[in-house]
Amino acid sequence: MIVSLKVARLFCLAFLFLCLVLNLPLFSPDLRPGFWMAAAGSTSVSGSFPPKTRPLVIAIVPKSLDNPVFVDSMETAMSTAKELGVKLEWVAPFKVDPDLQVKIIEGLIWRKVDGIAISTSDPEKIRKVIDKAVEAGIKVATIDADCPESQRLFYCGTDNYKAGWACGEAMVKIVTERGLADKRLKTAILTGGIEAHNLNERIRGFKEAVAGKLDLEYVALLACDDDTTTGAKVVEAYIKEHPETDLFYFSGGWAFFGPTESMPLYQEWCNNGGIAVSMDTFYSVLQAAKKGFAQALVGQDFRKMGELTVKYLVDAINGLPVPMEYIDTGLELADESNFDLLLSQKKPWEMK
Amino acid sequence: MKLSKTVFTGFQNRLVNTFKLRSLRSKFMLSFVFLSTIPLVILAIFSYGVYHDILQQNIQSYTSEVIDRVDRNLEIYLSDLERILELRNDYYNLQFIKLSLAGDVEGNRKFIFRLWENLNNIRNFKTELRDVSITTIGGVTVGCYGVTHTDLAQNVLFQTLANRTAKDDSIAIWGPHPDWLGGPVFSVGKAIHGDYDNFLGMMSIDVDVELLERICGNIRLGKTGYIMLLDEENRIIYHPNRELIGKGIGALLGEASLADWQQDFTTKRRLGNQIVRVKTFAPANWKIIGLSNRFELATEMQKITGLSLTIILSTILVLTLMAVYFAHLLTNPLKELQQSMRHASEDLNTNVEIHTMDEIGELSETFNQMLARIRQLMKQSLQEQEKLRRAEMKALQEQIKPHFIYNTLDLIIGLLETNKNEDVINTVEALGAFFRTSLSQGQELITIREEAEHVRNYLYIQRRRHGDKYDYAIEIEERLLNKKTIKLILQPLVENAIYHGVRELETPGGLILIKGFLLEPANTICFQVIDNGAGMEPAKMEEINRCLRESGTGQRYFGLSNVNERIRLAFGPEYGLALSPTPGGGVTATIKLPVVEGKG
Repeated sequence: MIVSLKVARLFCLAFLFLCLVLNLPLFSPDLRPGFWMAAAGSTSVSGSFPPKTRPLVIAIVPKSLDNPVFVDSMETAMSTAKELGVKLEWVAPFKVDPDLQVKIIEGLIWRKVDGIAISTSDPEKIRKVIDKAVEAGIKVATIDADCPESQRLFYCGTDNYKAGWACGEAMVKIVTERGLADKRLKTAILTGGIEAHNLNERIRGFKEAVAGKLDLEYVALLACDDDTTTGAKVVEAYIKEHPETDLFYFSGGWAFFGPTESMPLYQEWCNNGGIAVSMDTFYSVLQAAKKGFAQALVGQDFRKMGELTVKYLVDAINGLPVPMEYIDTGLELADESNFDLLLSQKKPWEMK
Repeated sequence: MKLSKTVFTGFQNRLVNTFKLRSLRSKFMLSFVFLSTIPLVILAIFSYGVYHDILQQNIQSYTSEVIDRVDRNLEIYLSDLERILELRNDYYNLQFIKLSLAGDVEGNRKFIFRLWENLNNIRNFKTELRDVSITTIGGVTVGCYGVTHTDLAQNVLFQTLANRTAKDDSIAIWGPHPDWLGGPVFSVGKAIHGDYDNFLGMMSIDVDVELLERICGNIRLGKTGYIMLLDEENRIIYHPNRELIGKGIGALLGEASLADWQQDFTTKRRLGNQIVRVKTFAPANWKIIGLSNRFELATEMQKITGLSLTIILSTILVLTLMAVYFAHLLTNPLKELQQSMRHASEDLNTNVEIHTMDEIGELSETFNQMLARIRQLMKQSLQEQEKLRRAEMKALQEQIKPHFIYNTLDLIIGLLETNKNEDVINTVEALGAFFRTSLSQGQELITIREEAEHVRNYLYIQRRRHGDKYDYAIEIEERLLNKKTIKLILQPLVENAIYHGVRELETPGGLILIKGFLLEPANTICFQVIDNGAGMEPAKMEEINRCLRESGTGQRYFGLSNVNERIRLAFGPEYGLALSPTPGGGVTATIKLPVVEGKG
């Protein structure tokens, strides 16, 4: 009985050894689960993912998921990716959160995607992780919001300074037409994130465009973290407290993405002669402008952003040259003269 | 029986010798300490065993309870997730899946945006949720972080659900595994089926393994015991020491120990003195393992032992002190009594001064009474002895009356003058014998023979002096002659019979008869001195008898009273002398004596 037990034990050991030898290739570094390493310490970037036999995977990381401005970009990016035979992932924090955006990018690095395009919510925080991704051999681009001084391959999006300049010029035109150019005008600005480079560029462009032409007193810089509801709320609250404000510059159209009925005081302010110029020419923003919520709009071409970003990123992954480091997707100007035309050409988001 | 008795006696002797148990106090103390300590020690030993068992059972039951609690918490958490997963058939989910599978990117914009919002809202319900997502059979996943692509072949959760029938609506669990951000999560999912029960994909929730830390982290089994969790491949998925997470359990507890861990609540005792209890968390086929350290049990027991020993030793010390105190309390009166008795043996005037209300107090009281009685008796005895000596002295003085001696000497001179030498010799011999018996070397008791001889000598001398005026006879039973009597009791009676009886007769013919016989029924010796002399007035006789009965009134009728007093002092008041008239005239003096055997 004891002898048979010993034999059985020996047989089992031999079988286990054989299994181990046969399964060794399965434990190649690419397939080794990284979880246990991650569990022992922080998220590791040394883990590998499947070899290149799979289709190319590129990821676009907008600032947040809840901002509908990126929906057009996502659509064209996905269509382009489908055409090019690559897999596109669209990943971001639900709301603007630079730290979480960094984590998400680190996850992509760990998974060793082939390319990443990022809409930078905070250049200071994102720059490091971009460099880390580049060092890991991933092609990295920026979309919509650039991250200067990083090792990103290219930026695809609006020239935000130009966009801001266009807004400034539109403001100068309207104020002059109303005969207020020689008055000192109290001006409030709504932005998304205080640290967002693209928005700051727009504000800079706006200010430099009006400088010398108008006498503006910048009385407030309001931030809404790219949140549509917050945007409308802070504007409404500010106008309630400061109805004497003369001008409003919106560096993004967040306040008008939702129903305008939530901004009665602002509407009253507009009816009382308030002048507003806003970025973005989405359907809902055009609708609001037509109601008098803004006298001029400067739009971005998000569809082109999605399309070109995927195209050039795939090119870069495939070793093809990217035509330029700064890919400008152009601007779209709107005022009372073409609101109806543009509304007829665009469609609402209908997301809610 | 005999052997055991011998052994017991030997033990007792040895005990007595070893502890020098010679005093009542030491015996009492040792008995008290023994009787108090032995039950205490037995109780301590018994309690130790019982406590040890109870402690071990408590540890096991506590561990089981804790494991049950972990199991219950995991189940509750899982049921919460299951309820969340019931949202999988939400309209937006199904529309997203359908449009995604159809490749309608534009049509899906409305649903994808809504899904992001919904899924993020769900994730915010619980802090441990890392992601909530919908995965289609096309490999597209929409979750809290956007849209990703999933390698379905590598996704165990998806494969599990895909391989189930549409009727199997239960949840599936996968992991822990790294999520797409690289963090450790375990995934819980439910299948999503189309209108025709066709498998469309799944809704899944990624839960951070921190949850396990939250559920198990604060649990401590004793000081060093803990809970850990194993996945179905026996890898550690939770351990207080994070460095061990991901390692096989074999490295920690030994491969062999895994063999029979299939049942709930298996208990194992490892060489490392750990008590291991295991329960399988059935939904995920995880194992919840509770490890308690037996050394802690030993430490606890050491504490108990130390405490018990301290209590026992303290109790013994207290008991010993109490024993000393009580022994002192009990034996001190005894010791006092002993000293008093010793003192009393030298001085009967001592009294025991113990006034306790117990037996010793009573004993002391009795002893005092006894001493008083002894003193009284001794005093009485001394008085009686004194009285007896005085009586004897007086009797002796009576015997040696000068005129009796002068008369006898005159008689002897007369006989010499008449040359009756033979009579002289006889008279002198009688006189000598008379005085010899009177003195009798100071002895109080003499034989009846000697007493009879004494009175015979006296009568011989008196008859020589008084001529043939009366006669005498002595009739004493032979068997009485060797019995004892006090001396000089017949002579005074004979003297009275001569001087107040037969000498008063006007004519010769007087007779003095001395009889001695035994009264059989009463076993009393009776002497009678009977004369037929002048007799006595009855009143006088009555008065004399009264005087004789009332002892101590012997100033009158001294001769009779002296005899009567001496008899009563020597033998008791039931004996003595009484007078009665002799039928036909004269007086009969009767003496009653006890039978006292002479030597030889």
